[in-house]
Amino acid sequence: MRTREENGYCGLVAEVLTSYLDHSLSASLERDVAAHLEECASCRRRLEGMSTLIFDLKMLNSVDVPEEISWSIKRAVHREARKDRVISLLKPVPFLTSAAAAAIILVVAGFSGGGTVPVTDGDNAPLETLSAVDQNRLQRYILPPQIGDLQGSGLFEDQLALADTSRSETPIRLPGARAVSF
Amino acid sequence: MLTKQELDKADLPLMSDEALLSSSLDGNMVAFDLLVDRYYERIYGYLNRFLKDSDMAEDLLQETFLRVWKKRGEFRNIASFSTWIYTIAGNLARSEWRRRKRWRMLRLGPSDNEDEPDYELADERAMPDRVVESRLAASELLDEVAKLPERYRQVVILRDIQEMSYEEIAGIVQVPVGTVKSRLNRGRLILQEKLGKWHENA
Repeated sequence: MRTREENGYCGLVAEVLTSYLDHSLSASLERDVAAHLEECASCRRRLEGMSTLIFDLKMLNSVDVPEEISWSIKRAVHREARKDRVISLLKPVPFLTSAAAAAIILVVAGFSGGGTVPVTDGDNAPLETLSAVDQNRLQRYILPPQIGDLQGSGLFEDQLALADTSRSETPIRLPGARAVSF
Repeated sequence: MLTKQELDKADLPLMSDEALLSSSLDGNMVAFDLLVDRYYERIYGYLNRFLKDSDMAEDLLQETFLRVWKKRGEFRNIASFSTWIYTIAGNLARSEWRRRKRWRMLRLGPSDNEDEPDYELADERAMPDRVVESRLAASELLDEVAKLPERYRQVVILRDIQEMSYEEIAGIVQVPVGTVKSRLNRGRLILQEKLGKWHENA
């Protein structure tokens, strides 16, 4: 930063140029710096250069912002909000196992109410079935509000539609839940 | 006759950022959308200047608002909303910058000199609408800002480009005001040295 011909005081002045421009130095220091600037052409040039730089940087404030950005942000946040709502609906039933939570999706997607609910991994290999107790809990606590809320939430709509029409083997996932197929 | 809901909606644009955030806690998405409208351009400008990459700025802008949404319950009125969102955006930008730096070091080998210019393709979309002296001069200025060490770059962008107060910047960067001023001074001197032909009248 310092050139060879600069004395030590030029270096000190350089360190406080920003404060000098802001008039935030103590009165005595500001007087000293001003006196030095009167004598030192190199420091004056540096001060003028800094003023120009500040002006030029302000001109960079304007930036082209793609118009669709705000919409995509809002869409993403609204999606997150819908997800929060669905997750909050699952929270009041803390005793549910992860398998049971996963099965909620199954139920919403067209659970017939009879028999057992197969829960599978990503390869669709049956791992276990819900216990009768869990099924009972699902029917007592989850089924009535969950169907309506989830279907109206906009979440998993593709999966729900798919399940309704073709009953495909496509696995779906809920946060914290095991993948299930139907 | 307006309903209470309609009245509330009419009042929203007059509400402070903090009040809007508080309203969004009750699920008021219109209030949150207003916050997006108020801040997305400024935060985009900040991220774009910091990273000099429009695509990454867009990604991190969205991530910033998603984090604000997820953490809105944690906001405390100790700082302003503005300081808070800039802090979140700044942290994301710095993480991204460091990730890139590590990647560059892996590709090009280590370099101890943080000031050493890195070769980067110019991003045409990062160009300002109004040029400084010429398109070339503005472009060169942007290049040099982007090459500043991050502790200087952050304060130069916030103070000289976004025109924030020292106190706001101190809140965002989480250092004392005196440190903000000294970093700003150092950043400006580095820029002057790099851009000597424009900013030092020899």
